[in-house]
Amino acid sequence: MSTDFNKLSLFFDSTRAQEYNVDIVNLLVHHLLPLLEYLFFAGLIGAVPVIVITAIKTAQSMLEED
Amino acid sequence: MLTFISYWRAAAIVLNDLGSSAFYAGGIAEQAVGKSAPWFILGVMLFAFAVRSVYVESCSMFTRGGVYRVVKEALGGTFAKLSVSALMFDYILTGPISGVSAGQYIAGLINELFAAADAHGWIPRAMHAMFHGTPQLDVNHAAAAFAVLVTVYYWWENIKGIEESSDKALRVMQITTVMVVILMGWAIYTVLHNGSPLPPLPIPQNLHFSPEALGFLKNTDIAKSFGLFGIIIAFGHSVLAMSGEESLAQVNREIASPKLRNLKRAALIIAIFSFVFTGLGSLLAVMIIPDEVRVPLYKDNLISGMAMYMVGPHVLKLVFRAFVVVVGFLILSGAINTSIIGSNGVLNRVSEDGVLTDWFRRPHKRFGTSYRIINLIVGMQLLTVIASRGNVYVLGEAYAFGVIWSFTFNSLAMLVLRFKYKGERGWRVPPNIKIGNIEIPIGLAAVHLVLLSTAIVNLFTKEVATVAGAAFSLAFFFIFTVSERVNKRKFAHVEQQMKEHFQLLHQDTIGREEVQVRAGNVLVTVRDYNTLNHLRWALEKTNPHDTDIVVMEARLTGYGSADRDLAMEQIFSDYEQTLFTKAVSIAESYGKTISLLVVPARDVWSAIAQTANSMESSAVVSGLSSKMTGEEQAFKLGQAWEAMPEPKRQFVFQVVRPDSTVETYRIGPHTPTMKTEDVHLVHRIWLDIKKIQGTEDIHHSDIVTLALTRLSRDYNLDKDDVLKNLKKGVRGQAPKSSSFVREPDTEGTQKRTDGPRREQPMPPVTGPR
Repeated sequence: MSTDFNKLSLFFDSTRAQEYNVDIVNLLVHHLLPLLEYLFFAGLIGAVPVIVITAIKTAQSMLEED
Repeated sequence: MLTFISYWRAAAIVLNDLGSSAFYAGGIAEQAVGKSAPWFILGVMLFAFAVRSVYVESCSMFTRGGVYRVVKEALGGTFAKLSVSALMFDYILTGPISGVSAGQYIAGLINELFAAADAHGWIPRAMHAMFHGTPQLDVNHAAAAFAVLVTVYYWWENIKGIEESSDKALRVMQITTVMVVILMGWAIYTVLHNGSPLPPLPIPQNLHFSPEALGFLKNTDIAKSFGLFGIIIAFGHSVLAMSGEESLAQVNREIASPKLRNLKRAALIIAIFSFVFTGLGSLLAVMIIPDEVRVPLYKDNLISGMAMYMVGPHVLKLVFRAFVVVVGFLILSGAINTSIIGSNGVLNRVSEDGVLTDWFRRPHKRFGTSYRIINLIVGMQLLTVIASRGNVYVLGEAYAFGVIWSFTFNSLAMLVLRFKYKGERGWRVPPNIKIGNIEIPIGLAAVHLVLLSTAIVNLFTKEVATVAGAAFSLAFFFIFTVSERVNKRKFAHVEQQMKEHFQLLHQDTIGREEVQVRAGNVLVTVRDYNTLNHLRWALEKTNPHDTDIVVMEARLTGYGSADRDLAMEQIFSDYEQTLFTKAVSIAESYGKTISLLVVPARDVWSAIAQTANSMESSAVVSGLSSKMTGEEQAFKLGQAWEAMPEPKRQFVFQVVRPDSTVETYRIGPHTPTMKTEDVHLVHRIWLDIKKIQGTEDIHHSDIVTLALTRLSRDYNLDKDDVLKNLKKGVRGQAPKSSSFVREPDTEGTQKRTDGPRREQPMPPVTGPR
């Protein structure tokens, strides 16, 4: 996968620094971001019971007497 | 006086922030990700249940369970300052985005009315010529102007105080609910009538990102073949729909008892309302408003667009649109209010911890509010409005940065706290699995993973948010760090942690009216802020609906200085500030109201007796003195009571020991306690008298009266003889004073379960005779 980060000049002045940071962003884009995909979807699946149980338990609080 | 609000009011304050996003979140998300955006908004609103669950857990652990406190406990001061900086970015932007959005709705309606009037030829020619056609407002500039006006209005409201603000929030939400019911009902009818199709499903091939929506990734290959990754990007662009959760933590300290239950109730109300209004509203908007006008014309006032494309007569639609605009104006301006309240709460909390200098928290002379913090917040909001020039999309993009990062820090901190503090909590984010002694917080970890991954992806895809948010947060972080160092140097010798500022009201006399409490209140005397167990006991046993609690400190003053000459600083010193801060903190944790009182006095016991008398207190609650027994304390108070001039009232004096057992005494004249054999003797005499005819009207009390009259006569005739007989009867049990008596149920060390007692009816009393 090729990369072309035109916007990087916004952050880095020297060409050398730019090349170095392109590598870092390249690494991030191709290795970190796909990893986030797994984390996100694993979290999303895990959040389903949180949502269901929280909804039920908070609804029960409405029926409780003070 | 410390006051608390109901869960309805709490929900209303939070919904003024959270619910208001329905007016702009859908439009912003659609501009970023395309027509599938409503599905993501719905998903975010469902996920908000989980985020709220994390906040409820944090609030169950800390009364002021906002991001700052939680992160500080879990990850330390540096992370806490970072997280609160992100949160401040969120809060500062809530005001401008809400104000500008309200302005967009109003300007849109005005332009629509101009167009309608022009179509009927009602616009004068001169005006027509002046505008080179139909008069139209510059929507963005008009929106910015509205935002400035409303922000200034709420600035003044907050300077005046929160109680008034929560009233307004409740009223705004009541009107909004009416609008939401009509909107939903009419929209569903329209959808069924028109047979409108659902928006395209939220799958990668249906996502159409604008170049701005890809941020730093727009020139990468990943932008062309993002696949499932696109789902996260889209989710990240919709996350601003759940902004406002932190307000729940800020409002928590104001929620009345039972605090946790009321917090859960508020959370449920917020969840249902925001899911229906923001989630379903966004979905129905895309189904009702035609594609060709939705983004070009109604992107910044989506609900107005819904009103205009409902099924029905045009006039009715126009009237409903006007109603939508009025409600939008109210709720969005309410969000400005909430943002000011929230920021004020956060900065106050930070300031209490010495992170901001004490200067910021000085109360307003007239209203007692932390006006300097409010001025700072509102100043920043006004600057943001002017800088944005009324562009909602730019504000919305930037806004999401603070929202997602404050949530991420909070969930991470709660995760860490699960392992750091394993004690009981009122609420735990479900589900949790226990393997041996180790509890695995699956639910909490899952919520954190979603938030963390979204926050990181947002860093890449939200260019404006990343640059502006990072710059703002770092600037705030820098201010906090420098301010904290200055504070530490300044107060190196004094413990400055957690001090409230109090608005002091000087009164020459003490009375119920001045303190605004009802008769029969409970007076809790405090002296040492390390021993306030008796205040906890009183709060536990007292129902604030029936009985008020007054926390009183008798401040010893020297002879020779008239009380009125004492400066406020002499009466309410740093010590009182710390003492009352602790008292307020304890009361907050119970969600029960207390009134605070400092009484300058030359004798503590006189001050307590006189205050209880003039406040018409039914009970005085004290901690056990380190120098005296409970009985000795009661004796001193009894003596002070005897020395008081008439009129004087009886009251109960309760001494709470460190182990929470209680000794109860009656102060003042009391029903004499009679031995069982004495009662039997009276009864036997009465039975004997009853045998004689014409004695039907004689009662037990008449026998006692006669006996006492004879005793009095004998005493006058021969005091020594009477005293000799009395001493014979009570030797070894003589009370030190007749002005107090101890109640029998507290002789042992058993824990009392009843509350501080009312004076009437008098319970039977036995004890020293």
